[in-house]
Amino acid sequence: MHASFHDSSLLFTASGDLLSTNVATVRANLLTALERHTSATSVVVNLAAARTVDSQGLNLLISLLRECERRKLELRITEPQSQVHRLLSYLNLASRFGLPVLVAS
Amino acid sequence: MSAEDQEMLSLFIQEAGEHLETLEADLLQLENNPRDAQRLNRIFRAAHSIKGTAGFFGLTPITDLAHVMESVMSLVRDGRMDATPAIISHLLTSTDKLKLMVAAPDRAGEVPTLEERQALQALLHLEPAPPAPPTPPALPECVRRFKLDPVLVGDALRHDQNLYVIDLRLHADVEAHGHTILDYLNEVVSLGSFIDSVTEVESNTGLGDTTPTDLHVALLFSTAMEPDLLLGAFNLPASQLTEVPLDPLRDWLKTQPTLVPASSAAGSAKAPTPVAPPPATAPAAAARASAPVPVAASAAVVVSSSPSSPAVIAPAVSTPTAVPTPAPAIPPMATPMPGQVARVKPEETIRISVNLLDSLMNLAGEMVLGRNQLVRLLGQGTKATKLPEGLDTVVQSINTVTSELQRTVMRARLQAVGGLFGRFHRVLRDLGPKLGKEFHLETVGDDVELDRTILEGLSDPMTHLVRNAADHGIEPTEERRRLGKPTMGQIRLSAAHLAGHVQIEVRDDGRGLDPDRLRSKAVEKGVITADQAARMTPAEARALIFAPGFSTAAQVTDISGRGVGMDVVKSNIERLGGRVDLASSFGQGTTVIIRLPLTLAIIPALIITQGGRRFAVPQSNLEEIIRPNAKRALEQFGGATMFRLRDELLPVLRLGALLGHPATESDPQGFLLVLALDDRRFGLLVDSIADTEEIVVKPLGRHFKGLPFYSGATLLGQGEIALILDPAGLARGRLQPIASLPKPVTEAKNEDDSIERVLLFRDGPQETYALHLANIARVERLRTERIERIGAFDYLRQANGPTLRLLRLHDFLPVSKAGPLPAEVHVIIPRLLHHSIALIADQILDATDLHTAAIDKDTVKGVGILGTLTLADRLTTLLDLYGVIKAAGLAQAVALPANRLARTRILVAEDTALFREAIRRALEGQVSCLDIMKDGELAWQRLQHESYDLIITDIEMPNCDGFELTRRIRADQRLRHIPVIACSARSSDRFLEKAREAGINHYETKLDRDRLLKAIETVLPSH
Repeated sequence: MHASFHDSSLLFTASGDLLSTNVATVRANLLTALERHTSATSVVVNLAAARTVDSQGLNLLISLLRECERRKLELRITEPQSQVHRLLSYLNLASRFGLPVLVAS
Repeated sequence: MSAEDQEMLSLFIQEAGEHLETLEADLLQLENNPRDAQRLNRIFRAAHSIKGTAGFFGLTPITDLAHVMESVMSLVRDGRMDATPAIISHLLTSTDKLKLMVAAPDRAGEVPTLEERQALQALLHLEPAPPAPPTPPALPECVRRFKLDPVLVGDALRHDQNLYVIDLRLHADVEAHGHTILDYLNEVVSLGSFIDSVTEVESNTGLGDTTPTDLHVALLFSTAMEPDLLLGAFNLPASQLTEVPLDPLRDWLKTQPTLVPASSAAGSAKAPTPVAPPPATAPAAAARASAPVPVAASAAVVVSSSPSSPAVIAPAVSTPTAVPTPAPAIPPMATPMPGQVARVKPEETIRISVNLLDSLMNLAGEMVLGRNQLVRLLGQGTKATKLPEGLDTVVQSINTVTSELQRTVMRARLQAVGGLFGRFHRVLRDLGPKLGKEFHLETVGDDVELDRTILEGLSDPMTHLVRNAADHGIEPTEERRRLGKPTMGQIRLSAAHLAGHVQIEVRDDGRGLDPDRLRSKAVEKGVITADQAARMTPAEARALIFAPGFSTAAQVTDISGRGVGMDVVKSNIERLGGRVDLASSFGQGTTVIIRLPLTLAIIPALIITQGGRRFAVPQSNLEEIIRPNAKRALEQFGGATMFRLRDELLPVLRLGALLGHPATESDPQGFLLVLALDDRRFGLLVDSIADTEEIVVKPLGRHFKGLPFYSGATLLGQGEIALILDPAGLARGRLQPIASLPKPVTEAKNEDDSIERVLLFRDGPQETYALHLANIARVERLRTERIERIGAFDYLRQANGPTLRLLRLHDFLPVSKAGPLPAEVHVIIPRLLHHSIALIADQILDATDLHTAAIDKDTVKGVGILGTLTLADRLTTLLDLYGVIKAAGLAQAVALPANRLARTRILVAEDTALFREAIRRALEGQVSCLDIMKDGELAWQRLQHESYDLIITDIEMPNCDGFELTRRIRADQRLRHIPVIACSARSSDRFLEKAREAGINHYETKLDRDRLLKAIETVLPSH
């Protein structure tokens, strides 16, 4: 997960899938970046490179969501691949990440 | 947003835009006729559709406004409120706002709608108070955490579905069992309707929380499946599946038909029900619809980790203070401002009506006709008068553009068949549990495209066939296990292009059709008599399922009834210009083969003339054009006209004769069109060739529908109307059964009788000989002086081929002496024979049919003689060509080591009685076992009970051809190792390729014993 900071927005760009094998590293990176850029008012997570998000990956995204709520930061996910988008929709999480809902709920 | 989502959103914009256009027009008309029920319904549906689709995308501001409009329209429709001008005004201004929001859905929240919603809600308050409403019934505890959509719940209850709650741990219940979460959820959705889900979020405290937890999700969905099936399907303990009691839901639903005004909903926060759609205020709606979504506002979304009551949820969504300031302000959008709002551009796809597409197609057709006329006029003009400079370039450009236009419009009408195939995954999935069967659906050729009209017409017949296959074809799982079949029944849907058509197959590996059972059922139902049944071949018996009302199903189920409707399937396919055939092997499965035209609109055609009139011949059927001449002349065998095309005897039809035109003397030979029908070919003799042209197919009027020769009509460039010839219609029933051509699916009436076509000739005045036509490559007439003698033998040198050794039958066979040769003789040159020989005949008599049952094999015996029979009142000697060669001492000493061949068990599948006899003579006594069956189906059945070392098969056979037989063998674990040699007179590259694909080890031409023995040596294992 690559982090960059522009105009009070913290942008995280996933470098691949979010899986149990890498969530610990990603979690640490996210936390470090959030601690470093305390002036950020919004967080954007680009998931274009993530084809798969497993249960641990979902847990991580929810952790980030809750972290942003705690820090009063706006959060949105951008460019999710269709299967990831659909998964978030099924789980009623899409709108929480600023995404349109792909399935009726 | 992904491209897919973008596309879906664009579709929403287009669809909602259409609804809004009609909504406005209908509202305006409603003022003139306030009780127009049809219009009231249409307005209601428009508002309802917009609400529903906007909800699908989470576009709450649009949903909210459309929802309250729908509520008002519901009252008007039900006669509980009048459509006064004031109400219509409110609805029209609301429609204006909807238009603004729909044009830019991502900024819909910025459109102020509070005033409209309040006005409409006020109207709802004006509704005469209904009788005191009962206390809203309590929702079952298990669903209180969900957001219930009355439409979805209502649909489920109307369809007698059950509602379930599944509590899942995403890792322990899903991933640990080898599934991905998405696949698992897709499966849940595929079994019914997804209503809502709740994902545990609140227990997660943030990134610092590294406690390993398994994410919990609760799913609410409806399905027709029973709980025990669901538990099995999802591999879940019973404790994690809750069946929702339906009566409380029904009670709850009664409170939902007209939705409660927002203020009431907000006021009922303490009540357990109803859970109305979130009555968000404008800022809240704006916040929820725009991106990025402020996290604090997300508290408005119903996602909870605990089974919280609606009371927890409602205040959150209705508390404006919980919503932070929306994203930076943008200019208000009270009036449409072109270019201001449309970030999502709808230009990539648009939806157009089918009528418009049809009109476009017709116009393109007319344009093609106009182009054709223009090109023709230009051609005439350049000969007679000088045309303006550059005109030809312009016409060329019009020509090119018209062709492109036509192709593009045609493409617009084509749709991939995969969309249709895809539906059956769900169909079979639903049927499996009901029937106690398991299915695997394989689809092949999903990208094959068909005209949409044809595809639509195919939907019902295909559904019937697939359900038939599942219900009656595939055996129950336990039965399949007992039979040694894979427990999962295989159903294969395939589509492929074939000779300008699309062939679709529905194949199952189930029981197959039992001809005996079909016969007895037909007799029982009075469809045929017992006598007819007794004489009926298996293929004819199988065709009975297409008889109206015929069914063999012991129990007619709601899934299907085999036979019930198969006649409708057939007539539906035929109505589409296609045809349906059936292949079935009892115990092995059934294949229904559907052939359909790709499109019916514009086709390339060859324009020919016959009797001074022009006709169009579809290019898709045309293989080549031949100009017969003295060297390549048509020949008469009996009543049949033949043309020798390379190594094939081509039956020839004369178009003039078929149409009843008087024969033309000016050009008696004309042109021979070689036309292909599936694997069959024939020649069509026509007067002359005019041109090639893209023609617009116009259907024939109903008065001409019964004419078999024509498939339509067209307007030619000259403005002349031409009929389009239908090659299949021309050939139907008129082609002689030439053994060198694939035969139609027919069977001999019994094992000992079949009809074969032979050439009758003489050599000398005494005896008449018959030789199977399939053995003959060509017959040449020559002057005797061309025959050269070397030693004791006669030879004929050929300009383009090997020198032929000429044989006179009386030199080798026990027949009477023929006498000296006349000045002219015929030489009969065998086809595809290893030996360069020819038989001398002084007279060719005829080509005729014989019944093999009439052959007398006992009276006259000898090498080279199959037997005798009476033909045309003369005793005729039927020749065995290989025997003749053998008698002439020309057979090479090709033989397998005796002990090796002697251990070999050979099964032969051959439908031609003469060839069966020839093979029998070639191999009998040399092998351990030689079983000869008269078609592939019988051979296959034999293989089920006997073991063989080698299979020799003909290719073209009724019921099951050599390719199919080999495919079955290769697919059978027990048999797949057995080598297969194919014997057929056909040897085109296409056939050889098909042979390789089917798994044939060696391909051999018929009657060449030497080569056959070599082939056996090649394919038999060396040990």
